[in-house]
Amino acid sequence: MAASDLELAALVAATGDRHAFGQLVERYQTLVRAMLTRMTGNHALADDLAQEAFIKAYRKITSFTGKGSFKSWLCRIAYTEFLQAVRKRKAAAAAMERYKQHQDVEEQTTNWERGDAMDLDRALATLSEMERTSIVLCFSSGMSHSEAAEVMDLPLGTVKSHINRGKAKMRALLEEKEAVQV
Amino acid sequence: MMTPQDGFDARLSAAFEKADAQITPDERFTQRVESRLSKVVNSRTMVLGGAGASGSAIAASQLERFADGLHFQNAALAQIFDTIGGQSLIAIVFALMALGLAYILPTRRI
Repeated sequence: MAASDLELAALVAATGDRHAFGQLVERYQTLVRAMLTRMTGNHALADDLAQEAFIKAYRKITSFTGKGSFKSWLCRIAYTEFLQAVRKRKAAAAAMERYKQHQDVEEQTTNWERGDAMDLDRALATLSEMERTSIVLCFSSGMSHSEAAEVMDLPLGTVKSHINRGKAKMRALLEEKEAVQV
Repeated sequence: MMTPQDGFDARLSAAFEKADAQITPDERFTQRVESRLSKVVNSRTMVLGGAGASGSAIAASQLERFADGLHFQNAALAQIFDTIGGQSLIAIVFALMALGLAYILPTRRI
């Protein structure tokens, strides 16, 4: 039987076992990379930030007390990495700039509901940072509103407001696009 | 009853699911993280080992009486003991033990 997250985290905290931590990386890399990809709109940047997040998680593993889920704890670290990258305004700003330029090149004709990640990322790029993060945590990472509030260190009501505003903006944008296509 | 908002939630979830499906597990990603962890462990060993070795060396250098009481049958050991000095030799041995401990502990498995 596979060890639980808590067991692996305890093993890493006690012995620094890299292979045990590697199992946690295998388990959560897709979730963290997807979350950061949707937040940044850039695969390469997201992978770099995800890597940093896992290294920080390894260093800070003793601060995981098991009160919440390992997933929430890890996503919080990844979110902090994202915020730091945004604040530095170096790699993230350059990537966003490239992304925006790419946006102007050509309008896609595919429907966003058919899984066109580009359309989804374009819609996400129109949201504020908080709205985007709230939406990504709840719809991409599968978190509850409470978990998202814990990750973002915000009151539950504030997160709900961000989600509602974000959804309204995305809905308007995506439905407008659909109307144009029809 | 399903509201228009619920309908949009379902569409949004489906869109995220399809978009995120493009991000597949990457073995190289795990390998890159694990290789970087080796450097973290090595630097931790250096810091812990260095601090432990220094502390042990200082502590052992205070064991004057213990050093004076040592006598070696082996000629080579006695020669080293006389050359380096008892206290210094004990300090070096203690420092090496602390360094070894700092090296072994991070790689120990339960």
